Amino acid sequence: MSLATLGSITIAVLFAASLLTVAFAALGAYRNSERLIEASVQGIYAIAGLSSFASALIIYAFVADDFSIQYVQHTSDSAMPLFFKITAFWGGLDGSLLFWVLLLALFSAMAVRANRYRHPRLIPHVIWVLAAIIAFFVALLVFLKNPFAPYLIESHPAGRGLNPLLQNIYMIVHPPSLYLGYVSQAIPFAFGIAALVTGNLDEAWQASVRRWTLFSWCFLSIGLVLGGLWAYEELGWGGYWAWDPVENAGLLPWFTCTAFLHSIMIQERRGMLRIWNLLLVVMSFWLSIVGTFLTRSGVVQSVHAFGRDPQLAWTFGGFMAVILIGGVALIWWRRKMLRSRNELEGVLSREFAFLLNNWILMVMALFVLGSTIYPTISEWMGERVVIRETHYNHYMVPAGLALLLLMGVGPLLAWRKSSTKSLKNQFMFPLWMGAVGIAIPMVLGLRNVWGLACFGLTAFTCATISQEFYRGIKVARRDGKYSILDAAIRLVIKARRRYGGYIVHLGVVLMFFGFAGKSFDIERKVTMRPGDSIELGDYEIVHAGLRVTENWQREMITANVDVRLDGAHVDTLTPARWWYFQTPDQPTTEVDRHMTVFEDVYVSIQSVNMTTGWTQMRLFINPLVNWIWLGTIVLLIGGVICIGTGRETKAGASARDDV
Amino acid sequence: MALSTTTQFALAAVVAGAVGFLVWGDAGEGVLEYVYADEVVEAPERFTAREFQVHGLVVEGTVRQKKGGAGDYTFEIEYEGQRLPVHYADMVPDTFAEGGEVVLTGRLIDGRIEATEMSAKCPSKYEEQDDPTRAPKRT
Repeated sequence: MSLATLGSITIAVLFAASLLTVAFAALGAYRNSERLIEASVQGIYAIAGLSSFASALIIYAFVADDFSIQYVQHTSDSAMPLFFKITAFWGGLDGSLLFWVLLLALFSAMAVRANRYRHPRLIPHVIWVLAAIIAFFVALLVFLKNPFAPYLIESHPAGRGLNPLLQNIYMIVHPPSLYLGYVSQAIPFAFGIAALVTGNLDEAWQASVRRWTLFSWCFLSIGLVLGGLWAYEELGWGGYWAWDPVENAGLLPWFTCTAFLHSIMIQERRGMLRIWNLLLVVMSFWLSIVGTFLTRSGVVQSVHAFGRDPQLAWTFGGFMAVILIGGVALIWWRRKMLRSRNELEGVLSREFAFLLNNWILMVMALFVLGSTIYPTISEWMGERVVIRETHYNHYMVPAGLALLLLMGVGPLLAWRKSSTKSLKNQFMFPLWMGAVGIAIPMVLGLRNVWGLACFGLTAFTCATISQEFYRGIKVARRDGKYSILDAAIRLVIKARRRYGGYIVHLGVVLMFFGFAGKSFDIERKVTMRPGDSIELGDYEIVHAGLRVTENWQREMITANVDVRLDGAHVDTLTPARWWYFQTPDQPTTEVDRHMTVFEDVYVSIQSVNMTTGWTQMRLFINPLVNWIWLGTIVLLIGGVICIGTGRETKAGASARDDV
Repeated sequence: MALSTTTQFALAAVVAGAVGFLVWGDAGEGVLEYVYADEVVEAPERFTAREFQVHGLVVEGTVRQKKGGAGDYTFEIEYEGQRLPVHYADMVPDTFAEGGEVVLTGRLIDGRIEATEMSAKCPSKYEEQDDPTRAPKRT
């Protein structure tokens, strides 16, 4: 039996298994039959096994250069390094759908295993929801996009190779981490639906869900930032975020997840926002599917779009409608059980800050969604438009800064309401620091209002976080037993969610500091010949020559660019253009940069004329840009602390507070 | 302080109004119309004094470049048989080729597109269409 046949059979069996699991779970829940429920649990494990087997088969096909399979032939070639062959698994549409199924199947098995006896009433419902989602994606594989589809003729062409733009380390990690983020949203969604269907709307199930959401949020964050880093290093336009529709698609569930992770705390503490939180769970999953849809259907034109496919678009459209309408209808049905147990007591309370944070995040999500699909809707109405970065920045920059402000203010406010005395005590130091944060860049010559606001708010929020740590450490060291570091570690371990949250905030602040650097940037598009030099800020950039080299995979034109500061040579950069033999009409830009803590000197070649030596380059000074990547690392450390692994100490549990 | 129903509704109305304004309000210069070359040739008066994007195929044999310089290109683009002259002051991207697809951002001045940005289409797609020679489809 050929690999293609075995693969196709596996997918067909997987489809049958997921349908059976849906049936067992739904019937088991309806009849309250332990045997049927047990069968459905085994069904989820079988689905995980089968999708792992199917994925192993396609990876084997890539490694073995089995070009009789169309998908392998389209996205790989025998000259590609082994690493890229394996990762070509998710390099195209069909494989990425199988990858989706694999991840969802594994997550489902994990979630079911962990919660089988913890939430026995919910489990059958969780299973049928998850198995139904899996069945939908497997149906796409079986009926529309079989990654094992073979060539029907004997002789098939050699492999075409993976798009050179994707042969990059960030591209190996960026899609899977976004996928992990998208797919793991299905677990909170399934629990939410199960809670709604059974009417078990107490807060118990939400503890499990919060961790999954945090997990998903961490991976969405990694995916988004790596996408930015990839664009920054690979595309050569000097920036990291251009509101590309598919990058936006990753951002949409990130907004609602962030909102949920905050508003769930209000529910835990005050029993408020219960409908809202369920709505956020439904919206987050829905937006994950929207994200997958935008990437896979080609409805929206983008760097990422896999090409137009109306049939896939309609299928996805139907699925999205079912999720949204079904989810909202269930919440409406249970609205009386979801009544708030408390009311908002004051505007100067942490609850209100969280509420505002949620509104802003929701507005941002709706705005980005609206703007992303605006060109598509406008095209249906007869006018084609493109939306440029300026449209997004115009609204998103103030909204982002408002969030940053709330991030600083929130922890300073007490739950319920704050007294005037405590406000004064809390705000004094951060406000001073905020003023300093505005004054320094002003002295340095910055006049851009948004830039100044960003620096000021960064300093303000950073001061808030430091103040919180300082006070916590001071209390922990009361009896003088611990060193500062020791006390800080104990503090974080004791109240992991609170201080982990602060560390996440610190990461975000560092990222905003990096964004603020943009207001000092310098950009020049120059055309130079070897020997020419040009001024770029305080630097002198010298075109020191061109060389042509080639290897087994590509031809490369590399420029030697000297970077000088005050007459002294500081670095030689080697930006290049690469032409892959497989795809000669798609040259890639290889950026080079001189990195420091303060700024990047960034050089990319736009085009080159080897006969005359004219080289068109884009030169940038990007101040503080590396703080964005640094901030991401801090943010992830905070995220991992919040997720936690072990049990919190008893004292910690009682002292537990949230950011 | 319990928020009264009226206050809650007022707050919700303010938020809803703000979102509506942001999403559907004046989109400003961030939104550009995207047209095909023939639409510009057929109704040039529609395109005066504003920036837009135009899509077409570079007509073979029309590409000229000012001698000695790095940029300064003139050429024609066509769509459905209608031709439109273009001037592009910069150096063209490597992917620019006669017969290839381009998307230009610019203004229509004296019947000629003065383009400020150019993208030569294709490298963005993960998976190319099976027939790379296909003409761009108007959808």
